Amino acid sequence: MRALNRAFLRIWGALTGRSAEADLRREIDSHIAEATDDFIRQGLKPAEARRAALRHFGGVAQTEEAYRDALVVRWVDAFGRHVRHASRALGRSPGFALVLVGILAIGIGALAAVFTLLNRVVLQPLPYVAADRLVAVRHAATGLQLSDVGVSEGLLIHYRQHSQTLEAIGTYEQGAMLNLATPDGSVERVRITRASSALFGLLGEAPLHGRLFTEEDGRPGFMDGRWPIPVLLSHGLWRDRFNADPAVVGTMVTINELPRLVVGVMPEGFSFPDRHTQIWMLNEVPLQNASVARSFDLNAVARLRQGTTIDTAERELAELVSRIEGAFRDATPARLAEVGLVPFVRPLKEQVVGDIANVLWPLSGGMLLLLGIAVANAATLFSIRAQQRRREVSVRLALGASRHQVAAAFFLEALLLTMTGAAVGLYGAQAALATVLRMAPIELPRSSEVGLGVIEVLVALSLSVAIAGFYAVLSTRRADGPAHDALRGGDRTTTSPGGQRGFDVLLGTQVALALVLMVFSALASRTYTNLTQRPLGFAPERILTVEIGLPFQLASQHIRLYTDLVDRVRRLPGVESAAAASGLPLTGTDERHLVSGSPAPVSMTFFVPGYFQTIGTPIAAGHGFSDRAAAPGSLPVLVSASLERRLFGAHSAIGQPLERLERDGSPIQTFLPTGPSARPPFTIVGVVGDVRGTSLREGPAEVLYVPLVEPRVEPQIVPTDMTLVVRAAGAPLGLISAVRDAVREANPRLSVGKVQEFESIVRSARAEEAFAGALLGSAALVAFALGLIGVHGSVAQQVRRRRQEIGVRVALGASRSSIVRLVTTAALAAVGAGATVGIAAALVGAQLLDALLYGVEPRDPSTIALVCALLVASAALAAFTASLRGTRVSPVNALRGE
Amino acid sequence: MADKRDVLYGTLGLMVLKTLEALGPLHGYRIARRIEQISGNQLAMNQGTLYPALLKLEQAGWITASWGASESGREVKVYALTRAGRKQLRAEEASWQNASDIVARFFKIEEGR
Repeated sequence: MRALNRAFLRIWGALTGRSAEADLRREIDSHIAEATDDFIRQGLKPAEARRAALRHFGGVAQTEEAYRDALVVRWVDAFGRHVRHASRALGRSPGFALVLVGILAIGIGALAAVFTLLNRVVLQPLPYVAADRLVAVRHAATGLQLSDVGVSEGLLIHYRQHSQTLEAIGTYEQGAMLNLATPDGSVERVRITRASSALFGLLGEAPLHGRLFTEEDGRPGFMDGRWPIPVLLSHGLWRDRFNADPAVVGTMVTINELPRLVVGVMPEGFSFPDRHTQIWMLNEVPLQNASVARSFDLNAVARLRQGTTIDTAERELAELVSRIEGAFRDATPARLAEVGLVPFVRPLKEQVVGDIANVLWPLSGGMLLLLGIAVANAATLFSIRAQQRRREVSVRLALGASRHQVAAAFFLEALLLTMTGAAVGLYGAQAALATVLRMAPIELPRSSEVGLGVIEVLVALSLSVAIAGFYAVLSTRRADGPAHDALRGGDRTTTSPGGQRGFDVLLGTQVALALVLMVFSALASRTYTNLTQRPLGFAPERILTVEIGLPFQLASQHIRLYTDLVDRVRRLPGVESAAAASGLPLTGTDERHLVSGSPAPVSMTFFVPGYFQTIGTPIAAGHGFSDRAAAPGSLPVLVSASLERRLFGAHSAIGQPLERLERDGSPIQTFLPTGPSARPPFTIVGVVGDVRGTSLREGPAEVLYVPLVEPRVEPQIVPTDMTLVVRAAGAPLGLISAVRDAVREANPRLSVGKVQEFESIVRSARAEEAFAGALLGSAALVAFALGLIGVHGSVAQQVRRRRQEIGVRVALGASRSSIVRLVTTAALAAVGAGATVGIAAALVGAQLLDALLYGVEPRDPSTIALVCALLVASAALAAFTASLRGTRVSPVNALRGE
Repeated sequence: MADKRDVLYGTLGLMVLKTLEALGPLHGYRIARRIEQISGNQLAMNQGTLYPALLKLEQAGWITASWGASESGREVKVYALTRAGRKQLRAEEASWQNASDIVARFFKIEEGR
């Protein structure tokens, strides 16, 4: 207790800049000095006099202790008394307290949950060393109409040699699915990220066991099989497949039938570049024969030199690109001009976190608006309550309470409510976060835990203190009228327009904020609807998709294996039709190749005949597929309608030849040990309806469809990964085990990857929009409800305040409808003012949503008009019903003032 | 020493108020001496106990404290009676008188038996 007292006083002293203890010490010193003087005057020697003085004083320490107790007890007492008083006051109106806590909990909780996400995902730096200087180096290839690609081998080497602004450049390639033979003998599909040794150096993450890749691992010749290529395991894979055994480090594993050396295990939570990566495999670019423009599928991560800005780096890279001519085999002026490389640099964070910032910012803005509405709504309640307590306050003032004390009492009451609201809201937010994270399409840089942190709690608590302060000021001003008026018992003087203005401002605020939030929500849901209504070009209903992996050793048999597999699946009971393709729409797994007549690469999709019929894509022209080739020795292919348009304009593609080219535009040159590879020419035999490409927002994909038939394509591009599409008669997920069995029976070396419904692929393609729409929609709904409650409450209050006036009017012959009109008009003036401000705010604020929206302008006039009309009409209705109820009053009662 | 009684805590405040009323603003040591002198040195109080009592009186708003100078020019805290304190003193005086009258009557009955 003593320690506590002392601590309390020290804090108090620090806060007030006064130290009661130092004061007391000075006072005691002077006391003893005075007493000593007295004793000296009585004839004692100075030393004796001082001893006598101390004796008379008693224990100095005890005095200080007693003094401290007296100080603290008073403050604690006063505080406790006020808290007790406040909770008693609130206990008298539990409904008020409950509603208020509820409103504030929703406002604070929603904001806290969304802010936590924003903070963790967007605001906080990536959890890597010097993360603020980590950037992604990207390119636009304007000549190929590619707006955002990575780097090529040549560019990487060139930058590494010459860049002064970048300290180091690491690379990674995401997302390959390969076969891992696990110790228990089974084969599993695992997600591989190929990464350079420099990448791990840049991120600065230490391995849990073993070591990271070294430059030695990747020295020239490492691909030749002279030493095993090293891999790193993710924590999850290590735990699930290797029993968390540290001894796995240093052993060999088999990936796609090739031995790989496990050199280390990454710690839990390390999830670069995504949380799906299970194995990182070393990949370095070859210094020989590198090309500048063949492929841009390396993602480059670099660290800016200290003091360098992104702009400087971008300028330097552009300068370097302009000097790359002649440095590599394909760095010819003609080719460089054709490709049109423009480097750009963005923070790595943007690259990793991606579009979710586009969702989280407007969501946070929306939740802030919701909190604003909640606060304004609750403020109306506080004002009404304060109004009702005018008499009580007047009595207290008359009995000698200071205005300060009255305000403090109001503050404490408000604080109890806002703090409770904040606590309930935070608790709810914490619970909701887990759910939100599951449904949110969010890639977290460190996925282990997202919960409310100290910052969120502190922000919520300070918010609740601020809100309580606002309410205290509001309540005090409202309750603190001229004492004699209130004591006289009537509210006779309060029909003054000034008294109503506060309510009107609060009402207008709520309407304005609700309008903005509803506009946001309407825009988000229109975006979602627009995306939903875009024709997919296929019918995903009742289709099961099953990723199949084929070992490279079996690649030469791929046609027979996949045709056989599809035949087996077609014969399964409950299967309407089945086929397979190397890449499904909206999965982002398409292979791009250059073809003759096209400067930009096109998607190439291999399919087992029957594919279009199974997924429900119409054949627009020609025939879907027939065994006979259009010309002897050529491979019959199909093109999408969009590709036909681009390649042949208004002319028909049917019968036209097509040739695949190397990525630098040169003819394919393939040499196998057996001699030049047979490369069948393509002949277009059909045109297929357009389907969506990698995203719902983009235009239709330009696809070249190549069937798995003889004559086969050259071995370099043989598809080993295919996805089965199985249209079920009933529920597609019921087919899973039968399909798995069919795969095993077809060939035990085939492996099954991701299994999902086609519809869930479509759903996840618009998951961000759905997420934003759902959250903004619920916020808007709550805002709408709160707004209407606010209107209703405000009008009801106004009617109550004007009872006598209304009584007089009725007594003098005013009709009830005229009274209703009077009251409703006054409320609607406030609503109208609020709506006007709201429209202006929506026009400005909707820019926040710009990046999220699709098919609708942020300032879409029809959306704003519609929302405005809905809100004002509902507000008018709320005001009307409130005034109707309020004016149902007999003039006698009203005039009597009861 | 033995026959001197410690000052009752509750009455100390009253004595302080009365002292300040009689002598005007005083610093702590003078108040202590005055109380000792008035009681004819019957009361031996630890002068230190005065300070918590002074704090309580100040917190109640009956006295004010401010830094000033003693007769010898030393920096001391000077206490003065407030209007509320004077009122309180009147009330206390009356009720004290009342109480001691009642007690005195009891003792009289005891003697008259």
